[in-house]
This record gives sequence, structure tokens and C-alpha cells, in this order.
Amino acid sequence: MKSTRWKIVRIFMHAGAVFPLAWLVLAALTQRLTFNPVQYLEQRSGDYALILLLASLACTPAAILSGIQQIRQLRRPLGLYAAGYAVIHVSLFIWLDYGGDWQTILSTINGRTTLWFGLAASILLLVLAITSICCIQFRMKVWWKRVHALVYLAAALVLTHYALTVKGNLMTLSGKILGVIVAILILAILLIIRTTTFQTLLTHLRGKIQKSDK
Amino acid sequence: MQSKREEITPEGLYFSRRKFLKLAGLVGVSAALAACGIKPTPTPEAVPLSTLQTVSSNSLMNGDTLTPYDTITNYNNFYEFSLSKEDVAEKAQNFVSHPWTISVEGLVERPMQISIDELLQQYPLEERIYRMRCVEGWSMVIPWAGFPVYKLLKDVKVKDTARFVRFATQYNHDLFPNQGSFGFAWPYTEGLRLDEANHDLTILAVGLYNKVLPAQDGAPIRLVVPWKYGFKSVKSISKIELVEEQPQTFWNEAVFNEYGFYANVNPNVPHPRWSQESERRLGEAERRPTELFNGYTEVAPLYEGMDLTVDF
Repeated sequence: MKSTRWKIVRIFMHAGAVFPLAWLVLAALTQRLTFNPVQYLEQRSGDYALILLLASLACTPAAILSGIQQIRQLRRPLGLYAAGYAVIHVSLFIWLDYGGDWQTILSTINGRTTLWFGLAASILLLVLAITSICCIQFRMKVWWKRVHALVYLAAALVLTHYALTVKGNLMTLSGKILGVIVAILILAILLIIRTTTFQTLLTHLRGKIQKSDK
Repeated sequence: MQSKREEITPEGLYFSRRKFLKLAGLVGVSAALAACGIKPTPTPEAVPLSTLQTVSSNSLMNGDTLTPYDTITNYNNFYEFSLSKEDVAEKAQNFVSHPWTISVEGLVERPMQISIDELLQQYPLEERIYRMRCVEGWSMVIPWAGFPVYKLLKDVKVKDTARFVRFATQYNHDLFPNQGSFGFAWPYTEGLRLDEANHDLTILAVGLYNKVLPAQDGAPIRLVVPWKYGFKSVKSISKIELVEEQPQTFWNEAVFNEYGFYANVNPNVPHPRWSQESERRLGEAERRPTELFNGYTEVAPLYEGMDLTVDF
């Protein structure tokens, strides 16, 4: 891709990632955050963290499918944004919802599996974000790649947190589970595209198409 | 603890007597239209109840302030219209709650089929200001207009064999567009033990803030059981059935280990999704501790000898 066009793509990526936050801040300032603003902020920041994490994980598969290798460069900034929204999400829970009352927060977390998953996911995303700082990334050498494969674990933790939080039941397919199912399907498809089996198949198919073109 | 409405912070727009007299005529008009078989336009928001007779505010606690009308009517869990609490009001605006018949049947000596208008003539309305605690961890304070369920049950003469009361919404896809969706066992059904239903706090509400109940809050008639989580208080009731066995209920059937039959507000019984130790009163910045039985401790004798962590 030409550098000017690529620049535009990058601008769109940054704008798309920052826009939801700007919109939430604006809505908060103009008091349009529904009649339960705290819960609304918590839910939306969580949604955006998940969406951006999936977008980050979609970069490599998109590069594989399209052949445009530059897309891989969006993986890191999108992952950082996802971690940023996760930090906002957790901060809202601690300071806005529970007013920094650690005793209540700890007893709340203690009884809820979903919050353990959410907490683990946030900590992992934060670790991955910090180790993405260039100098640390450089010093970690081969380890960086190994550690950062954990982003898939983070995605699984986030999805478990999401599935356990929504009001419904995945087992009986009832309630507000549509978003959860869509997210699980997207992650599954992204993982399938990354497998060597799929990529071998893809090269094989491409070869066939090229042959028939001749 | 008894306190008068004036003692708690009133909602700014709360109904003035003059306005009430001026609008009282409208109820008559819509009743007349219903009698002619003409479908009246959806209940306008500001139609007051003409039959409200006595006011008895029940056990308000310190710091309880009325939740504004706008909040009560724009933040609703009513899956028949939408899964999103913010969207229910809009989706329900064309809901027609006239004509509406309520059937009281099952183990009764005198089964009753009664229209909502007849019902309102038969049972004088009382104002009951109740806290409403949702299982999701938020709460409101709502001035309901209604009458105690025991009065209705007395008139149908409940048979000795009856032990539970089953309340159900009408199954009507035209009225409730989401019925049949999302994998739930429709119509919405809830139940109470007979002694719970007969408790003076348990009411059938037809209005709030002295106005006819808006569709999103369960028009034309709904259950209100203030010491239980909000999901027990079925909206838009059309069937009340006296039964011998504990009835199957909507949320219990969906996720049995999360929503018990009793569903008493209890900070000591944890819920896997939400903390039940504290709650957010809508409009307030800080959380407040959740009280056992939502603060209505007078119901405690109903559960004497029961392990509330088992029968949650």
C-alpha cells in the first residue's frame, strides 16, 4: 500500500479507537448517560475493550487473507488501546462504582467468578501493554513473542468474563447472549485462520486459482 | 416506621391537586371510549387516577427520597418489549392496555373474570411508597397506587388446598412483540406462597405518582412485592391462579441457580453476577448497603425456621 493511503488507514484506526471514549466523555458532560450512568459507563468501556482486542487479533488474519502485510502493524496500537479501555473499565468499577471502598470491592470480587476472570484479563492486558514499550520489547528478545502469545489467553478470559456477566444462560441459549456468541465466533474464526492447516489450504487454493488462470 | 409523603423529599413535578382535578375528566373519556369498543389512543402519560382514596406510606427509611417519575418510566426491565432498559419506554409506547380482563381461577370457590375498570371500582386504591430493589444491584423509591392482594383473594374464597399463587402475563404476540424470543419460557410467570400473597405489603398496582401505570411499568396492572427482588413483581398481569404446588417461574426456569423462587432481598445470599451486599439508588453517587428483606423486616415471621441461603 502506498504511504499516503496507509497514513489515512492509520489515522482512521486511531480515530476509531479514540472516538468511543470522546463520545462517552461528551455524553457524560451533557448528562446523556441514561438513568444509571455508572453502569452504562462500565458496560460501554468493557464493550470497547473487547471490540478493540478482537480488532487487534484480526490484524494478522487480515494480512494473511489479503496479502497486505502492513496491516500487521496495526496489531500493536489496537492492542494498546484495548488495554487502555480495560484500565478505564476497571478504574470505573473501583473508583466510580465502589468509591474506592476496598473492603466492599474485595468482598464483591471474592464471591463472583466473573470478576476474577475480568481482573485476570485486565492484569494480563496491562502486563502486555507495559512490555510493549519499545525498550522493554527489545530487551525481551525472543521472549517477547512468547509472552505476547498470551494475548489469546487474555481474549479467552475477557470472553468468559463477558459470558458470565450478561443476564442469560449460554447453556439454554436464553437471555442477552447474542453479543457473547458473536464474540466467541469471531475469535474462533480468527484462530482458525492462524492455524498452519488453514494456511496450507489457502496456499493450495491460491495455487489452483493461478493455474486455472493460465 | 411510618412517615408521611411530605417528610421525604418530594419529586419536583409531583402532582398538584389543581392539575389532578383538571385532568380527572380524561379518565372518564377513555373509559367511555373503551365501553363503545373504540380503541383509545395509548394512555397519555399524565392521566391521573381518579379513584385514589387513601394515602399510606409504608416504612420509609432515613434518606429514602422519591425517585423521579422520568427515571421510573425510562429505566425498565421488560423483556417483552426490549432487552435494553433504556429502550423499553419507546418500544412500549403503542401498547394498548384497554380492554383488559383479569382472571382469578384455580383453587377458589368463586372464580372471577373481571375487567380492569370493574376492578378499579371494586377496590379502593391506596398510595404505597415502596423501595424497589432490582437483583441487578440498583434500586428506586416508587409511589405506587394499588390495593392489597389479600382483598382480591378474600373475595374469590381461596380453597383450603391452595398453597401458592401463580401470576402470569397475557401471552399475546401482538401486545408483547418479544414473547417467544430469546429462549425464555413465555409468558412471564411468577409465584408467591399464599401467606406471602396475603401479606398486607403485597399489592397489585395500577398507577404510580398518582398517574395511570405507563406501559413500560406494567400497565394496566402489576404485582409489587417490596421485600423481594424486582423480577418477582410481574407486569401486565392477566391471570392469577391459586395452586397446590410451587409454580414454575420465569427467571428460575431460565437460570435456576441464580434466581430462586423466594428471591427475598438478602445481602447475605450472594448472587454470582452482582453484589447483593450493596446497591445503587438511581440518582445517587454512592452505593448504599442493602438491607435484609429490603428493610421490610415485618415479613421476617413468614420465613421463620427456613434457611434463606437454601430457599433463596
